[in-house]
Parts: sequence; structure tokens; C-alpha cells
Amino acid sequence: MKDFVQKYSLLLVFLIIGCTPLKAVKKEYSNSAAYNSANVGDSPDLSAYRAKKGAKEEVSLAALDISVVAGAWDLYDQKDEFDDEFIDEFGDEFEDKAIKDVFDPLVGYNRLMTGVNDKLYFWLVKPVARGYRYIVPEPARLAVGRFFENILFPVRFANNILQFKFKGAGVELSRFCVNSTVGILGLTDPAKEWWGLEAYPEDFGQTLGYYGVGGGFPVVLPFFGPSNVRDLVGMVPDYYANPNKLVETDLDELAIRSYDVMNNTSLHIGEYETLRSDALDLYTFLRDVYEQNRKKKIEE
Amino acid sequence: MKGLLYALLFMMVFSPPAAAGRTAEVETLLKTKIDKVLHILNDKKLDKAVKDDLILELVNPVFDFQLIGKLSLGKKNWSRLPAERREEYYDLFTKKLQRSYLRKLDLYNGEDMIYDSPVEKGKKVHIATYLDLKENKMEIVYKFYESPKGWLIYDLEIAGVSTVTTEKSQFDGLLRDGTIDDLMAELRKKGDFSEDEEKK
Repeated sequence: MKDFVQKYSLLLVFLIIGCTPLKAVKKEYSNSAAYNSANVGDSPDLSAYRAKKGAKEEVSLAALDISVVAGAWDLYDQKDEFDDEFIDEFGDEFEDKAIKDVFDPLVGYNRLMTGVNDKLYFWLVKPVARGYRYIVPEPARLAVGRFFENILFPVRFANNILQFKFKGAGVELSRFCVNSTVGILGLTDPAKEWWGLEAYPEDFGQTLGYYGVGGGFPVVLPFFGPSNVRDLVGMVPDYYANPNKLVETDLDELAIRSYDVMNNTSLHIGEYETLRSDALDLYTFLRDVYEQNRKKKIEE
Repeated sequence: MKGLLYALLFMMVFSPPAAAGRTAEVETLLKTKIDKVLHILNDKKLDKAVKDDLILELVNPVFDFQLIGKLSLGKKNWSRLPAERREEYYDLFTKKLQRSYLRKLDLYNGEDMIYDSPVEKGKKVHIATYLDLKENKMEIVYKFYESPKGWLIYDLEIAGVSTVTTEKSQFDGLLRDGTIDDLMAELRKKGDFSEDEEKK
């Protein structure tokens, strides 16, 4: 117990001694013209806040920790123009994450394909999906969407297992059994509506990511949009696990897949438009959005 | 010495509820704001332009647009922005973000909003919310920090995509070859509300 008290009293003494020079520096510095000019960019509120903080310091010991922090901040101002006191703390959160100089050997092709996809969307996919949306009421389109999702059960189940996500695999299995029977071939979703069992979507790209495989360089696919080497490789086993493969001819398969895409697009008209309007450079924007979204899905 | 011990004890006993109070404060703030925004969006009698104005009026005080603007430029590019042009940049950036926010709200279609419990990250508080879409759930994380003016949003993460990170890599890309003037021109274009394309 004695040790404990001694340790903490020492800490306090250390703190008081430690912050004195800082405070001195701050005072000296705040009187100088440099300090005032460094604050030119501040909003009035921020200046007022600084002033208030200064006043608090005069009151002293009670505001000990504040003055230490303020001192450190002001020292930071001195060496850098980046004058927001929170910027350093926030900066780290984003400076680390920012994607620096992406290795992108296919950049020329990727840019071209992004442009092609953009035009394909506005000239082909969207008009067709809009026509379809006009003819088929939304509940029917949602049912079709659920049907296609339900069929993809083997892909989700296998990838949950491969990532040792047994709860996800179990939920997927229950969903498939319930929705395929009671839910009339997956057209409805009683598993979610009655028991609150939500899908656990996983694909092989995510499985590879789970095992630490990096994305590799970006590849833009026709129609499907941004992807990368890892997810492209991941599409192969998922493609063979997709029961759509069981139909007889390739043409039938293509027709089914196209219908799935059209149905899906008809439910999401407006989303791509909203997304793309945020971009300064469409290709790098979509690439970045894709990578962040995939990273999140892999982490989940 | 005994006093010090008591002080320490006092701190230990009383800090956890204080922390819970902080997150609860942010949660209430976010919930009231979102409730009001959804109320406006669900009001069929209101004109789109009026809705936009009302919503901006509501949410402007909780977004720290200037900080988001600074973070999006990042340390390196911030030094390239002359002090006398900061106001102009803040202004254009805010407009771009506001427009982008309103466009996203256009997609709202009466869905329910589900709240996760707030998570404290250092001095910041993150709250994940889920928009219950017809087929899936869309996660939106609101990131708050405590400013002298109260809790403010410094970043928004939609389906894992952070606004600041995305803007930052866009700005980085543009400023690698371009100038601040190019950036301002692009921002001006993006913040122009009259330029809305057809979406239906």
C-alpha cells in the first residue's frame, strides 16, 4: 500500500515539474506575433475556445492536464501550419488508411473498361431494367431476387465453412431448408420474417482474404465493374458452386444470369448514379469504394 | 497523502458512469437528428427543395464540415492550400458534401433505422446504424468527436466506405498532377445543385 501511494505521489510531482516548462513556453509563445498569425485560419469559435482555455490555465492546478495538452498543441502549431488541435489525432486515422500509389499495371485498360461500363449502364442495362421495372411490380421482382439468392446457398454455405464461421453456415443451412420449402422455392423469406435469421453472405474472394491473401492489382470487369486479382480468382470456385451451372446449355445459363442482373438492377436504379456523382475521377473513385467495401466484408 | 488516495478512489468509482454518459449523450443527439430527418423525408406534402433546406438546417450544426474538409485534404495537401483561399475551399467542400448527402437521402424509401450501441474510440464515439433495406441491411457509421461546440460528426462510413478516406484519395489523385485551382474547379462543379442528373 505504501508503495502504491509513493508511486502516485511521485507521478504527481513529476507531472507538475514536467508541465512547468511547457507552460512557460506557451506563455512566451502566445505573446509573440507568430502565435497570432498561426491562428488566422481559425474560426471565431475556435479562437474563443483558445482564449477560454488560456483563462482556465490562469486558474491553474485544477486545469493541470488541460494546460499540458494545450502547451503541446501550441508547440505543434509552431512547427506546422496545420493548426487544428485535433488534426494530428484525426490525421492518423486517415493518413494510414489512405491508399498510396496503388500498384495498377492495367490502369489503361481499367480506365477504358470503366468508361465502357458506365456507358453500358446508361445506354443498355438501365433502359432495359427500367422497362422491366415498368412491367413487373416490385413485390414480384423482390421475390425473383430472393429466389436467385436462395439458389446461391451452396456458395455462401461453403465459404462460411471455409472461414470457420459455423454460426453463419448453420444459419444459411436453416434459411435454405425453411425458405426452399415453407418459403416456396425461396420466393419468400419466412426464415427472416418469422425467426429473424438473416443471410450471411460470403464468397471465395472473402475466404481468400480471410486467409490473408491480399487483393493484388485492380481489374475492371465488363458489366460487373471493379474487382481485383484475388476476387477474380475467387469467382472461379463460386462460379462452379453456382447451381445455375446445372442447366443444359451455355446459352440458357447466360440467359438466366442476364435475367438475374436485370432483375437486380431494376431494384437498385439510382444507386450507381448517386455514387458516381461523388467522384472526381470515376475510375479511381470506384476502385477505392470497391476496395474499402471488400475490406470491410472480409473483416466481418 | 490520504487525500490523494481518496481522490484516486473517487476517480475510479466515478469515471465509468461518466463515460457511459458521454456515449449516451451522442446517441441521443444522433437519434433525435435522424428521427427529425426521417420525419421530413416521410412527409409527402413537402416539396423536394423545401425538404432539402429543412434537412440541411437540421444537420448542418452536427457536421464539422471544416474538419472533414481538412482531413480530406490531408497534411501534405493542406500545406499547398494558401491561407487566403481556405474560406473558399471550406465553402466549396461543404457544398459538395451537402449535395452528396442530400442525394443519398433521395434513395430513402421509408425504411426502418436500427441503432447499434455507441463505441468509444479514444476521445471519439462511433455509432453504427443500419438501414433496413428490402433485400439487405446497409451499415452507416456516424463518427463523432467532442468539440468545444459539442459533439460533431467528422466522418461518415457507408457500407465500409469512409467519406474522408474516399475524398482524400480523390484529392490526392487530382493534386498529384493538378493544382489547387483544378481542385477548386472540380469542387465547384460538384457542389452545383442545378447539375443534378436524372435518376429515376
